[in-house]
Amino acid sequence: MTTAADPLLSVEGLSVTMPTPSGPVELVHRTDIEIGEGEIVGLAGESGSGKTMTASAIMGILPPGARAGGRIMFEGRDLLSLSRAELDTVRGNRIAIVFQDPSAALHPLLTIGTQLTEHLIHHKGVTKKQANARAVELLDLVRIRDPHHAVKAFPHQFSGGMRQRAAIAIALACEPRLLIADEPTTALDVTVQAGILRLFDRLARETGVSMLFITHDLGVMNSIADRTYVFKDGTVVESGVTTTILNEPSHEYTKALIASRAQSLAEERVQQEARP
Amino acid sequence: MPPLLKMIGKRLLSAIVLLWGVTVVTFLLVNVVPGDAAAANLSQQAYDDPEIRAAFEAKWGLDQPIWVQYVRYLGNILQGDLGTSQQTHRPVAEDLSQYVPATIEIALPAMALAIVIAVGLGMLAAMRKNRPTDTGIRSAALVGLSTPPFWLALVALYVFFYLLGWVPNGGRLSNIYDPPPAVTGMYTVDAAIAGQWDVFGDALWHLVLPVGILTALTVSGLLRFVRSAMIEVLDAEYIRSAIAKGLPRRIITWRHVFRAGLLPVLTVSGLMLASLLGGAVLVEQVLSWPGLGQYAYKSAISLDLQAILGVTLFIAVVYTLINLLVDVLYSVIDPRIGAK
Repeated sequence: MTTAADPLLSVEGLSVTMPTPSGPVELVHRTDIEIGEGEIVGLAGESGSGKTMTASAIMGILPPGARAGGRIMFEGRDLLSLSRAELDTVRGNRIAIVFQDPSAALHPLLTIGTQLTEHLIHHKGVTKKQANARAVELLDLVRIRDPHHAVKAFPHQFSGGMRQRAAIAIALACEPRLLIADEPTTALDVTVQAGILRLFDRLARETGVSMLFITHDLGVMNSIADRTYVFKDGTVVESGVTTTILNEPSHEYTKALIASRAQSLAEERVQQEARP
Repeated sequence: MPPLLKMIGKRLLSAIVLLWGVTVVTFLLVNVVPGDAAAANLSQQAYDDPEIRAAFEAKWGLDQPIWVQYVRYLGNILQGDLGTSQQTHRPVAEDLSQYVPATIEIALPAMALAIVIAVGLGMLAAMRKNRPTDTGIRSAALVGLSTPPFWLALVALYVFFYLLGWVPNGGRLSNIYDPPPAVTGMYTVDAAIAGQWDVFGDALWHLVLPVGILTALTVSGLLRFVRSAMIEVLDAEYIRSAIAKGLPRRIITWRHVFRAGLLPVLTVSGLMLASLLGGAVLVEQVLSWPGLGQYAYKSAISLDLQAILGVTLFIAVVYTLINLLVDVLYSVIDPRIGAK
């Protein structure tokens, strides 16, 4: 039993090692992360800093050959010590993930309905009919129009933003307690990014699901995460309340990230003004 | 009109144009290739007699200009007349109706078995990539691929007929039986239709070796394609999604991996089936199996023009139809294609 004081998920001293031809390389070292009940926690940092590896370690989907050390405590169990069968009762059910590129993450030959219901049927033991009804509800929840029709559609019939909405609905199907979002807006058009962010924000408030939100974009982080961990070279260099980190960064790297963000914003503005 | 029917209609039209092209090309090729049908078919004495030679050429239209020969040939094809074989002195269409079922009878079961075995082993190898199981399967496939078909047929005949006595010594039926009344030309099917179960059993027994050999050869070729297609799918992000959903391995394997990996395999299987239906000359020769391969071979060495054209046209039709079938299956499996 977890008490109110216990965090929902606590990553303790996580390290991830990948074998390479020139010997093993440690991609994540001694990382500690805590996510409380109903909290939205951000992981910030540039690509290759180990954010995605951390998420993969939690989901048990590290690349072949990679090894994880340390502990990942969730609902009183260490996820790293579970067998595949035991882990399968957790992932997709208690913890779910939304990947960066929905075009690659959705199966191209299966209908949205099948992809929405297969794990629901497996984990919750509901009938196909009940699952289909729930699928329509979920698509409605993520604001996909005409959900009765959409469950029969294939991913290629959706736009990028709709695909990501569907992927979010799939992740939420079993009412997980933790939702991991791995750069969920990066692969999308700028015009639909804001809509997806608002969706995450609303879902967190409406469903009370905890979130681990991974992004390299501090602006995104600012709009969604309660607390943020800043990653650099496979470890956390700074953590705390998001607004505090952004306003009073203590680590040089965080300052550099904020500066580069300001610079790219300025460049965008110059480009926009240059357009006729 | 449903898109699928529209697609089939379009493909059938282009198939007709294609087949017409095939008749032109093969007809020209056969006429361009140096070789004298009269010399190949007449005895030396008869060939030296100008009158007999002229009579032979007149009988087969060889004295006419080439385009007259072609137009005559094309007109005949449209009426289902593929000409008369100079070798068997029977209509080519009749010859084909006898040899083709013999080939189909070994090609279809061999292909079906090969797909099941190659897909099973290929998926297993892909999932155990670079582990002993994978290495073993790949090595076996390589051995199969490097083995000459006639040698495999000879060794199989030696072992399973001569040493073990498990299978008959080639042919389609034991001498004590007469072929069943012809309906499809396939002895097993015809025997079953006629209710001659002893003949059916004997015909089936004769199928074991040729089907086994063709299956082994086809599996070796197909396996590598299945393995690499499945490895690509296993690396895809949507498989990572499926794993992250906590789905049981059975569902991931058959619903997610198998379906996606099937598409590239389908194309290769189609080509292999067409190739099998074209006859396996060497295997048929060793096992005295009177199939299309043997017929084609005999027609070729005796420059039996009408028979060569008949066989070529048949094989072209087979390839065209199988490609059409593969396209239809593709659009059934992959909604992204059917929608267009």
